[in-house]
Amino acid sequence: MICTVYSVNGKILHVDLTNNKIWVEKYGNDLLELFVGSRGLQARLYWDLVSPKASALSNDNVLFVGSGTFTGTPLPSSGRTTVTFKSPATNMYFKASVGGDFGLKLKLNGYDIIAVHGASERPVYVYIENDHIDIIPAEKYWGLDIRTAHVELIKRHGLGADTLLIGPAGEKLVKYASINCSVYNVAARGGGGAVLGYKKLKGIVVGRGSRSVILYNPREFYEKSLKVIFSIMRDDALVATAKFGTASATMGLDKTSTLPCYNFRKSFWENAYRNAGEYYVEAGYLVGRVGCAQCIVSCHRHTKTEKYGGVDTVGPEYETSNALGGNIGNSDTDALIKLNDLANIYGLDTISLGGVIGWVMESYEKGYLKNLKEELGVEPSWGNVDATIKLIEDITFRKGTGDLLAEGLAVVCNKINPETCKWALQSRGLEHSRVETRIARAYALAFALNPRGPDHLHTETFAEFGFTEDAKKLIKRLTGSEENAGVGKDVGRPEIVVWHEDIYAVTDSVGLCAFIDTAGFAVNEAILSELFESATGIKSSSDMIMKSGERIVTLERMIQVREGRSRRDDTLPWRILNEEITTREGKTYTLTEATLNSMLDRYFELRGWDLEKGIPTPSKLRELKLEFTVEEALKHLSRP
Amino acid sequence: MFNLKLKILEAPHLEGCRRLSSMISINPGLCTGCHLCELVCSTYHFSKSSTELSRVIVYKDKASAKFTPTLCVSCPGMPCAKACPTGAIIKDDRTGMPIVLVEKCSSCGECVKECPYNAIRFEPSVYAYPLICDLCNGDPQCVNVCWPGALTRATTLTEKFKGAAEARSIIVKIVSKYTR
Repeated sequence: MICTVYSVNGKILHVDLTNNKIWVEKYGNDLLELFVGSRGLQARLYWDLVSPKASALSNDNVLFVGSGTFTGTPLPSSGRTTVTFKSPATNMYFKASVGGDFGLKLKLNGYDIIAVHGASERPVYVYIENDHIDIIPAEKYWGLDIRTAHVELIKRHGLGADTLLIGPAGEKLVKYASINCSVYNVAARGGGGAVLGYKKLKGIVVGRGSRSVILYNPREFYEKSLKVIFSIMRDDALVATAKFGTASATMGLDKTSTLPCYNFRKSFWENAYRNAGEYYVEAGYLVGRVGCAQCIVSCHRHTKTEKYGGVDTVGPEYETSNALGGNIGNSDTDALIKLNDLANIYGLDTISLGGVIGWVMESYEKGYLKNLKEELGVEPSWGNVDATIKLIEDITFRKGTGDLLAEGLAVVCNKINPETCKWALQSRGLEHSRVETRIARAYALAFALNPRGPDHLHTETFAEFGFTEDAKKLIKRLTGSEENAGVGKDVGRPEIVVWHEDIYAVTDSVGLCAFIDTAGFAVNEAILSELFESATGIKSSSDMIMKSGERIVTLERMIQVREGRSRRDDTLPWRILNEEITTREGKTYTLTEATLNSMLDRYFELRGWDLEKGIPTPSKLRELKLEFTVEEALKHLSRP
Repeated sequence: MFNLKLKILEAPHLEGCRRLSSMISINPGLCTGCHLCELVCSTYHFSKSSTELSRVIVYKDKASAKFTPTLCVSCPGMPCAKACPTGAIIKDDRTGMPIVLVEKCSSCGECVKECPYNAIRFEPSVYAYPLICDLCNGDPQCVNVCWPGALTRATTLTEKFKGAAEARSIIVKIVSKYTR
């Protein structure tokens, strides 16, 4: 066998559900060198295959699932999968990154990326085992929750297979329905579940796979991987994540008053510890740890409670702990585990779900949605778990008011009363992630620019907090001074965001977990470039790696420019920009539009994009070898 | 994909870890199901990476978040060697582990059926012969990378067999749950 590409298979599997057609497309090192892997390659494919006029819920939307370039190698924590599609929530390009084993199995079956075109008339699922690919009727799995469907499908296809599935929420086209890999690993944001639901695709099952990942220089890569393993074991932030999960962040955020509670009206909470990873261990909820493919950090939690009829599930993560905890005034940890499990098996994004329920509770308190009490049988007041459970069921199955709530905050608040949009924590159709962006300013800038919407898992600027020595060192390297680490500071935020955006794009593309290089710091751009070179044989350096990151970020911006985005969309929810927030020390913070704008100016200057419109300039595009986008940029730049 | 003449990677030892006859102990409760042991095992032995080319086998019930690795614990009497019709499995005197003589092996799979710990991997579509743990010449790579602690160096035989028995009971449960 002659290998023309290393570390990847060089194969894209296309499945057309409308015409029942399957074909394989090959690609080579030229594309890999420019776009690195899954996220970058999928953005490039998206540019060619998804027209800017295509509606998210139509036959024209194409959904891509891809494994990272390092997935399937002995490099730790690099088993992440990227899902790319046009989002029904934002009606724009969207990418979500997910853990689990799906990407690993996909790669061992001989493919890097699956592109799902068109839509089926009847429920189906796709089965992939090496060269054998089948579109199989899925009537008997349609309607099943994700856990049950997974067990049934594994029974059918054998242990060692893995699934990517949607739940009832995706089938009912809920705008924040998730796609779950390996049952509990969730590509949650943006409503990818609804895209599959529209396609009538219950999911994709990959068999054991009999291919191997061939590395260009296996010995060198192996030795470097072992070094990364030891760096991970020595990293303070990653040790904490391994011990207490992502929810170990809760107390740090509470201390720095960046823990949004009661729908972003409070930035700290007396009951925060009930939502903290340390508490799950201390109070005996933790049964064990769960790792994504290749990940020795294993931050996922296996939890159990006897209450609520007995729950045995995986999670909750930090975002869920806050979204369905402090955000809705819920300090009952047993209830939190139950709510998390419901979202898991129905296939709902807990961040958006929490955003919607928080809005419902605040609206009810302020005298709106009065009929809900009668409809739910209980008052949707702060911390009311029974009301929350009922709301989750109603949203998933689109019953009563739940049918409207399933459309997401951007639609709902305008329908109920435009006044309520002031506490609808969303912008561009996506509900805000769980961090106080009025105080954490790098997050604020990153959220405003993020192609997804106000969300953390695209540009996690966790180093901004300066929780560890490594984080402070990074901030010094990016901004010139350690003093710039910490919350409530504006200085150097654009520089922090640019670096994080670039490295994040590469991290996602190679399949590495962003916690390894932006929350912990076991890997940096120099190590990434060495690994990339020994894995693929493509010449690389730190600068080239960061350039590739910039290329991917710029291409994603151009895709959205083509879909109608410009600088006026780089904004944050109303409450964030118009109301002040008080810290636990009694200090008040406001993030005005003027502050955000001055950060944006500096950001566009650093990027070399047009200041007024936020569109990449033709010279920048040519420099990044994105010539195919120049025409589109000129068209939008010349518009008044 | 058959590849009978596989190049064996020269063992990149970690300093201070060389010890022949080191034993591995399994602690199933600590396994997080990450597969890294498998990928490291396959890269170390075959210079290429696949879970199906590994001598460690990870069993997973993802729906219940239950995982365990299993591997050869060189049980007394060597039932695999007894089951082998061609006498292809012999004991490696240095490590005490069974080794498969590929020139004698007929790929019949009898050893797999007899192994009490489900610890022999035999995937004919990936590799023509059974794969059994060889302790990496005394420096088990899987143990070096298993941070969660599911695979550790055993100090006593009792500990080793207790862990393997625990792993076996979990595997039986997983297999029966996912078999129709």
